[in-house]
Amino acid sequence: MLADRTVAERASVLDYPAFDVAHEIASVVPANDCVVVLAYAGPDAIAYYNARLDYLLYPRRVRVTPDSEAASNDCEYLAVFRDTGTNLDSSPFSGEWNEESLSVRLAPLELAHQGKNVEVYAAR
Amino acid sequence: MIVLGLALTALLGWLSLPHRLNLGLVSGLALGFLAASFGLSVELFVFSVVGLPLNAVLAITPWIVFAVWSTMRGRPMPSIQVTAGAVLALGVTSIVMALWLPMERSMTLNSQSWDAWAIWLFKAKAFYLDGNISDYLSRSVEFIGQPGYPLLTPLYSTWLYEWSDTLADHGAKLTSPLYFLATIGASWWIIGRLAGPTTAGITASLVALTPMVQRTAFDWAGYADTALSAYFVVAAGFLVLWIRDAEIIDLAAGSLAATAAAWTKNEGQVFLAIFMAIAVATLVSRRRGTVSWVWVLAPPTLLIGTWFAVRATHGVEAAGFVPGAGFDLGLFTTAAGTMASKALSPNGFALAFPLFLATCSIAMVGRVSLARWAPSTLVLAHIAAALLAYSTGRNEISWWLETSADRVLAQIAPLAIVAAAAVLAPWLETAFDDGASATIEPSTEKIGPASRIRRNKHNRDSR
Repeated sequence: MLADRTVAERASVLDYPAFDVAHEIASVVPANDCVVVLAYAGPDAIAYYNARLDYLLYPRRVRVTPDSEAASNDCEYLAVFRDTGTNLDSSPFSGEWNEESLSVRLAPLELAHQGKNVEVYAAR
Repeated sequence: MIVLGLALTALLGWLSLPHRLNLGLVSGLALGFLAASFGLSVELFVFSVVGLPLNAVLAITPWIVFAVWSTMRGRPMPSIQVTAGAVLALGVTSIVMALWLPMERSMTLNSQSWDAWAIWLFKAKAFYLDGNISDYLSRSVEFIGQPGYPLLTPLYSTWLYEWSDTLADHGAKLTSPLYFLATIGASWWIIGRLAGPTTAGITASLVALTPMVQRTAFDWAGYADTALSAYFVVAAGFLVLWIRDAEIIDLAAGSLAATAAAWTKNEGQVFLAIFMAIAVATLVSRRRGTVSWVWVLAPPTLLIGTWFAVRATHGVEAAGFVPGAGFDLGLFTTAAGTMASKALSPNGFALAFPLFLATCSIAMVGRVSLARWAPSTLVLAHIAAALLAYSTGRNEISWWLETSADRVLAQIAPLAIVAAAAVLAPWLETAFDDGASATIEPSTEKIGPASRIRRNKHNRDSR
């Protein structure tokens, strides 16, 4: 099955959803910029996504956090990533997440990309 | 272009190696790949230190020039001598490669290959995108990884990216299978010189057939462990040849290979220290001249010393440990039990370690020269250093052993097989009538290159 796919397709299948999410963020965030990723993901997954997005998005500065109210540290871009149900089943979310305050936080920002698992916002 | 870059590395490396090593096609490509991938990584490191761009063409040019010059001086064409050992080794290696070939199709940097992308190829990517090594090292506190690890694997991959002008990380993973082939080729040539073609063929086949060595090369492609095992074999092999034959070229090759091991992984730095201790003891006992001392001391001092300095200027800590510090006997016992269980598992390391232990026992009661003990000493030191590291409790021991013990043993398994063959060589030569060296040599025997080549005329690859 893998033999019939391109390298990118194989990566997408074997590294779902990190590979696709990273490429979606990269399509919006310039290489010399930074992004804070608010991740609704389990604790094991957070460590994985931190390392994985560092790799896939280099040289962008990336911070992945399970805290929806985490400071943006002057980053111009904010991403909201929601992990897949399968991943959450194996590693349930245990961070700080408040949908209401997140909506308030995102309201003044410009939605730059809407993907299946990730939304990327830019400061207006 | 990546495949062309890999092929050029092996070819130019072979053509640049000294004629007097009497390398055939297979051993030439194997040792050539090891020499040139090491050399190219060092060149990119030097470029970065002095402020030059990490330019692939600039780095390969000296190799092209030297290979052309060397070839024009009259390199003999590799002879084709089909021996039973050669057929065995090539047949086994071909079957192993065919069985693992489908793996190449899934060689993406996925979640299964954590260290490959989080440590080794992350640096390669960063160096390629930044055009230097400083930017990544300056930012290393941002990343989960091991910024203090040495740079052979990352910088050779950076060279491949620069050469192909694309960030083909799946292509860089092909280096692991090539280091696997180089390990087999190097084992074949080393034992060919120490014993004969039949013993060499059996040794190379055993290396190729060790399951965990295969898994490390293919399943964990992109890690640095396979490269490390190749340099271990070459360094230990040339060390024993130098002690036996007293040829300065063997000492130089051994010292460079040991330095390459230290430039590949931290475990290689322990290996280098033991290698230097054996070499210095030999230099002192045999009152060798200044040139020998320079070859033992200069490569590690210049390269590893500069790397330590560069690392320190960027505030990057070494990921090592102080032997004996924080020693915990309980952790040591746990680690020793797990390592022994894994090492003696037929599914993991097949005959590698049982053979090694058996030959150590035989050697203790038999008359074996000190030279032939050198590889075994390096194997035992490597395992002892790993046990001491596990005994520090820097990580949770079960997790640590589960994620690293197989690889630590896979690093040294090929050398364990080569060490066993080195010890058994005098008996095997007689049994197989290989004729490479008809008697158990005195350890101080000095043999000139011409007579040595005559002695080893059967040992060129089918070669």
